[in-house]
Amino acid sequence: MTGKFRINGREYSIEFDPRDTLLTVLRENGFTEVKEGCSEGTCGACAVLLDGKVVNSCMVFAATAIGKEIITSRGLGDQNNPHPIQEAFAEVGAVQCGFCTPGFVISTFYLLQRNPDPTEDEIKKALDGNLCRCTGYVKIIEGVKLAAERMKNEKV
Amino acid sequence: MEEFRWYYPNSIEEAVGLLELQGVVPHGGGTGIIRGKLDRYKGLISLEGLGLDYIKEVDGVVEIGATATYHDVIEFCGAVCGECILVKSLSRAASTPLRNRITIGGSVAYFPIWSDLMGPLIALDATVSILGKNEGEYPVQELARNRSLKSHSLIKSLKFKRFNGFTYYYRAARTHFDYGSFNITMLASFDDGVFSDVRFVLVGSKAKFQRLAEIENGLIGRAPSDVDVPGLIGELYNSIEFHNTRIGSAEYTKSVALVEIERAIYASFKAMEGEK
Repeated sequence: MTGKFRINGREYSIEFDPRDTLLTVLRENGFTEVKEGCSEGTCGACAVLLDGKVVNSCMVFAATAIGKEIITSRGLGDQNNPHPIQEAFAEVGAVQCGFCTPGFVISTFYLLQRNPDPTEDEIKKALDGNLCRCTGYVKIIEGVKLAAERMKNEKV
Repeated sequence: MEEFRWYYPNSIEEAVGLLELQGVVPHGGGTGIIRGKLDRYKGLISLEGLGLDYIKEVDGVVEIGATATYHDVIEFCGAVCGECILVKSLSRAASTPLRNRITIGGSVAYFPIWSDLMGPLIALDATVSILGKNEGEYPVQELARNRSLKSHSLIKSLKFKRFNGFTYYYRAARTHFDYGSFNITMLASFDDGVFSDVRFVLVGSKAKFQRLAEIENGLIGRAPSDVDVPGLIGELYNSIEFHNTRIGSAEYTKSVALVEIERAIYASFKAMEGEK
């Protein structure tokens, strides 16, 4: 089947198998910043924003995302023009192997859109769908706090 | 491989008509559909765009459309009643991204025992409105008992009377994100220092969904000082059984469950004390 997807602000017409997940469609069309981890909705490496809500793209059939707004971590910012969340993560050392980072960035963005000044407990709850095997989460939480601070000041 | 199709009905009537097709099932959030076993289906009916994602309260009766997500329910109920039972239970379910996808209708259709929805719904005496072959309004427990009710049928919504009293929810799991081994729901109302209404549900035992009448009858009409809690727990010892669970052996799980049931009772005593 063919569907029109709006990914990171641009429209794409993509042919895909009706059984495909959004994760498969994104990765097979160059959006490899969306990582494939567990493929069963546990690790959060494949998190994207679907019409503004964070979802695991491995748990979403691509056929149900047709015509919707999809934002990946690259849609928030890239190496040349990083988003304050991405900058904060890099600065505090919240990135080690980096595999989980795009998912954490998306979940952090979703949190800070809804709650610009989260407590540590609120941060932990908001990131409950993202797993990191390297950092132990301390630096990630620090990164979220720094990003929140900067986004408040910069009104991103 | 046989062709697999998506259907995008424009009305509930059209969706109900599509249920006649063999091997075609409704799709709400899609989290209950096992991707590796998709070949068992010939197609999926997208329920999006049918306006079933509503939540409303009219005259104290809450109605939740089938495609409202756990996140939607937490937001709505949180704004209306703060710490009500569905806010407590659904906030424990899965994770933030999954709560944005898991639908109420899907959970009721699949009825997994690890779901954090079923205990509260049974305690709330919720009813499920079904369209299609088995059209009608059924108590949620009947749907749990009789799974054939959902065959060629579409869950439209569920309804329950808003509960304003004491609420308690406990979920036994190894970690926050783990599947729950069992959960307990307690709703209670107090009147002049005695229990006027108690609803106690255990989910995950061998009976799957169990209203604990021993506890309910042992509390209703009594003041905390008149309740023999160890006696009640003792009575329960022979009426609840578990299989081995993720948290441990059947016997261990039962011990944990009895302790947690006792804690729920004492929490209700404390709440009643606070009300005074």
